[in-house]
Amino acid sequence: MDMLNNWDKWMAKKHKKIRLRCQKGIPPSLRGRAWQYLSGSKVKLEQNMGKFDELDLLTGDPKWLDVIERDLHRQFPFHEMFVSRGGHGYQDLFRVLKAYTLYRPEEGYCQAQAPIAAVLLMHMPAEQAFWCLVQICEKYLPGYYSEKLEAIQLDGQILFSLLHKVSPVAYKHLSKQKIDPILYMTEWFMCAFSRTLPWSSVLRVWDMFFCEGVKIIFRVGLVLLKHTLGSSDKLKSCQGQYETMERLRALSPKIMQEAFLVQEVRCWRWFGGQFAQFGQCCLTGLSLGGHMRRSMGAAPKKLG
Amino acid sequence: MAQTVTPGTSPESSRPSYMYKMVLLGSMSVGKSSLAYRYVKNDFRELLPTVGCSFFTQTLNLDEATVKLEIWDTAGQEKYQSVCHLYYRDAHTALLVYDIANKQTFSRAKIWLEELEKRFLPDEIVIALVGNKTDLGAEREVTTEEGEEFARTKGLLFMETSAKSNYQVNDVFMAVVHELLRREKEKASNPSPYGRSTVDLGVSGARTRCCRT
Repeated sequence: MDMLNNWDKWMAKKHKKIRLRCQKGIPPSLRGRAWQYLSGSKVKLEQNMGKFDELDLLTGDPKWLDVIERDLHRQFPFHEMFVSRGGHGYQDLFRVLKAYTLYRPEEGYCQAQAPIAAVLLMHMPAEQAFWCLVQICEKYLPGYYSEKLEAIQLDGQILFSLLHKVSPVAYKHLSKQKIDPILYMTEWFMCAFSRTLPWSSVLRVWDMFFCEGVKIIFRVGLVLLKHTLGSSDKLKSCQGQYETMERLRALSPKIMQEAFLVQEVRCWRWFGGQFAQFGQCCLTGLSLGGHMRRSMGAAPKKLG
Repeated sequence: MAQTVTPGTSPESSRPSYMYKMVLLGSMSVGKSSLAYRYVKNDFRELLPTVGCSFFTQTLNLDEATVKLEIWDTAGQEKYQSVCHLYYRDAHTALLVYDIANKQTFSRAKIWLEELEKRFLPDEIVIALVGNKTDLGAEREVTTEEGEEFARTKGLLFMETSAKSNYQVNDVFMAVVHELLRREKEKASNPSPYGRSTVDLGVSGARTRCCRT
């Protein structure tokens, strides 16, 4: 509690402690608030008082509204918030997604944003969820939901190159099967694993993701790949392209289990250095510019 | 479904075995996932919007051959279009799905066809045009004749279906499989470098790939 009440002090002086706290899991009762502090969405809201209400009153582009409406009843249908059509969660989800299409009309709505917004709404009111979504779309995963999916394709290539270092066996297998990263990482990355992992793991991954940024998503992806395709034994039953894809769609519950996954992700602290180094290589070697820098960096450290 | 068997349990016989990659393409919410789900699981339910791709397999034990269908079900939102070629690469067949109660999705199916025509020769891929959601007959915006006519001019298979009320779903998949087998026979009697070899489904790892590069 003290952390949240004296946030600026903690962020400035004891960022390590905050990171550790997030790795251990944020207590459920504080999670919603903590995510807003970590992402900087709290500050963003304060700087834009009234903006959400303003957007909320506008009608919106029918092109996007139509798509959003089609998707509303298709998000976490088993969660109490989204069980009844026209219910509270349902309406808030519509408001948040609609507001985003008005906030960034050039981006509009991407289907992968709905599960992200739904998870946020389970932890905070609509206005707060909206600004948190804005932070995710602009600071954490910039370009993921824009036209042509260029950012996600680029991150797919980065993931694959990192896999080469982390698990040469898995890397070789995927190369041999000619499986482009897009084929397996799109849903993982675009939905920040919210539709892949068991619920308790989703929350733990998001705690770390909000604190440390997109590198957590990379690490989770690498852990899953390594433990699914990382030994010749594991590869015996997925010799073909289709079998491999099926295996990556139906991951073993053991490796997605909260304690195992978080432990593995944390273990790869050493990896941070290599990660940054690799990003630098890409930047200079391929001059991929802005997106790479944003995507390789951690979450905004200093808020406000 | 009587013709379904699990891979690897087909009895010893002289019947050839084939593996085909099928890709489902079309606008969002036209029912691509629902069609696959109905066909493979014979059930209908609200499915999550597909992000990326999902997968289904169906093995058919027919009189003339054993056929394994690998169904790649793609995301329909236009944003994903730029990466879609990665999904339909090496496909043997495609279902172009539209919603009969939404004219726009029909126009979109035509655009998908153009895309496929750029990447495949006509004899490389079997394409079926599928007008889904006949259960929404009252809100119909695309007539059966329009669909039929377009399919005829382009040489596509055509069928209207309803994944919800289980109308002609099995039929459209079977029509595609029969067309694939017919072409297989045609090739056998007139061998070409593009012919596909047979594969024994009992042997794990044995795969066919057509010769396209």
